[in-house]
Amino acid sequence: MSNSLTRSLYHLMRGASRPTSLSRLKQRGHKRVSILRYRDIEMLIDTSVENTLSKMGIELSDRDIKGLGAEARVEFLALLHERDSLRETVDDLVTQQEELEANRAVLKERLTETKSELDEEQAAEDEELVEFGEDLTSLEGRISASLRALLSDSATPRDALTARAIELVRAAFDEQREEVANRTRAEQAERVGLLQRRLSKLNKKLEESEAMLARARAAANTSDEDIEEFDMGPAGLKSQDPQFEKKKQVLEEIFKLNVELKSMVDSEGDKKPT
Amino acid sequence: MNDAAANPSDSTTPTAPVSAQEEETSILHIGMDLGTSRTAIAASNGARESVFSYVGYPKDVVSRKLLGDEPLYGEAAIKKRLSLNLFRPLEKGVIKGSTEGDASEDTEGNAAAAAALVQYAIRMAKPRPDQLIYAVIGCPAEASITNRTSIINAAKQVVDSVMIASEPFAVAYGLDVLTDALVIDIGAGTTDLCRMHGTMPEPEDQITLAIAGDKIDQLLAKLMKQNHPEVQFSERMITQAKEEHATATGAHEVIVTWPVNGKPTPIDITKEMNEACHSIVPPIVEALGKLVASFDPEFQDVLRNNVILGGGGSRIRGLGNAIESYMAEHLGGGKVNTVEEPVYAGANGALKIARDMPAEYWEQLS
Ligand SMILES: Nc1ncnc2c1ncn2[C@@H]1O[C@H](COP(=O)(O)OP(=O)(O)OP(=O)(O)O)[C@@H](O)[C@H]1O
Ligand SMILES: [Mg+2]
Repeated sequence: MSNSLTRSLYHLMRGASRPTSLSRLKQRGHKRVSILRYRDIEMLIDTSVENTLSKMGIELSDRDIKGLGAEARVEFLALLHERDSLRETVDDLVTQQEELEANRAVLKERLTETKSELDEEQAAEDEELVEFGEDLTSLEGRISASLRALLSDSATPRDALTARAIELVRAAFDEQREEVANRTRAEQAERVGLLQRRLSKLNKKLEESEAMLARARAAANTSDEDIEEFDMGPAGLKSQDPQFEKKKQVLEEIFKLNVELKSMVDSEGDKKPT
Repeated sequence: MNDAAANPSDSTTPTAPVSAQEEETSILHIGMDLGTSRTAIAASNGARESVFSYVGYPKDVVSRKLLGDEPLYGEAAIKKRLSLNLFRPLEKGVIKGSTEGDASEDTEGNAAAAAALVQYAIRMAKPRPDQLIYAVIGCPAEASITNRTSIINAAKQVVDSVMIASEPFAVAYGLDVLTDALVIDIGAGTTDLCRMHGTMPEPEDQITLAIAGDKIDQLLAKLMKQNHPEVQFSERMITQAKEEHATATGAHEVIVTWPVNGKPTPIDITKEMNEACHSIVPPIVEALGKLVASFDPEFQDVLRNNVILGGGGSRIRGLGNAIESYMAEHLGGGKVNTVEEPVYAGANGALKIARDMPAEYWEQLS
């Protein structure tokens, strides 16, 4: 047995054993400890191979027996190693799955947050504009009223001028209203766009993590999630199928053969019920 | 897959389902190719999965503690084989021990493993708990009645209605070929040849050869031992090398790095690979010739020129051409088409049969 094999055996045995201290052993009243040397294990394996062979009445040359012994030792190590990695694999898979699940939960939460932010933003857009519009309208009304009062109070009321002035005020306000609305809309659109980009990124992340989770579950052999619903459209042979008649005939034949098979299975089941 | 992309389902805005569609998704159609080395399924919910046809049960208390009582399947079972009782329940293309007069095998163990595998394969399609499952299972062309009934027995525990179809027929049906064609399915244990002429193939339309992927592996191992006795390799290394480099043209150089005296060494196995892969050509063409010769003379030409090559073995590079050349030499010509997706060709075809099958047929068999 090579050094590296001995070393890896040592490692594996250590990994499979439970550590304790000399003082604790003493406390428990142990005075002597048994030490298992690798050489002893090796000997046990060799002896079991030899005993088995002689029990089965198989006579082999010394060289073959040695070879079998070597094989058995390698197998023993491999088994020990596999047990070790098995435990690790199972642990890994479980942690991986847990992490992925946590990650997915976080993503889902973010997604909901972002969605409601977006909803708020979109609702706010109209509200703000309406509010702004209302403010401007009342301001416009007040200025128009003041203007009208001012101009009609003067000694020489000039209706045409009054009308013109109010018209100007209204035009100025309309312009202002338009500009504010545009600005607000642009800002809003930018915020909405940003939120939408974030949403789609989150969605993509979520998809990725779902896929990873599905893989982890499949690997851990614990998958029981439904897969995304997928619609192939209604089943059934289409009458516009270019080979409709032929296929119908073939399908009927398959069916008939299976009716025969089923009757055989059923009568078998009658004979020896389980 | 493509259909899935065209119909992104939006779970937040449920639309009122048309009642026909509702009925539709209450049934899951599954096509299964129950193969010696690999079992593949395709389902109407878009699932397409395959698993190596291995089932392993935890061997002892320690492994049971680690793995639980559930068996492991496929790759996972192969990897942990030292801790498992490993079954390859379909070794000769049919459930082992279910062939008449074959009492040597662990019949019950294999039947249980086969049932577990069929059930696992169905689970891979992720049916909803409320869905009715209608499955078509492709089995080898020459599977005996006993073989077929034992597959039905395995399946009926987990599906609501099941039908068996001949696997090569399923492949052809999947390609819409129902007339005058010859389907060759090169699997692991068997090569199934099936003559199609519009109706369900009869026994005389089918020939099964026990010459397929496994035989190539065996010959490759034998040639390696013979020509490179110093090289160390295992069965799995042979199969892996074949699946990576298989060629029947001789035009591709095949170099593997395998141990010699424990030291990884590059070895040129072009000649051996080519010889092993090419070894299946003469028996296949001979069987093909028999099926052509016993056919209506008027349609022999059509048949010869409509050969469909499928199964994992069809992935051998240049195999179609090699068969064509050999046909030209011995049968006076022929044309070979290789299926695009050998792993799923059988399952896809079986799914198509399942979906085309009238609902009342399914109901009568349930
Ligand atoms: N790329 C490849 N090149 C050559 N052979 C391949 C390749 N991939 C898979 N194979 C071989 O194809 C065989 C498996 O084919 P397939 O999956 O069709 O078999 P199966 O259906 O399980 O077996 P069977 O039809 O005998 O029941 C194996 O021998 C495998 O090694
Ligand atoms: Mg097959």
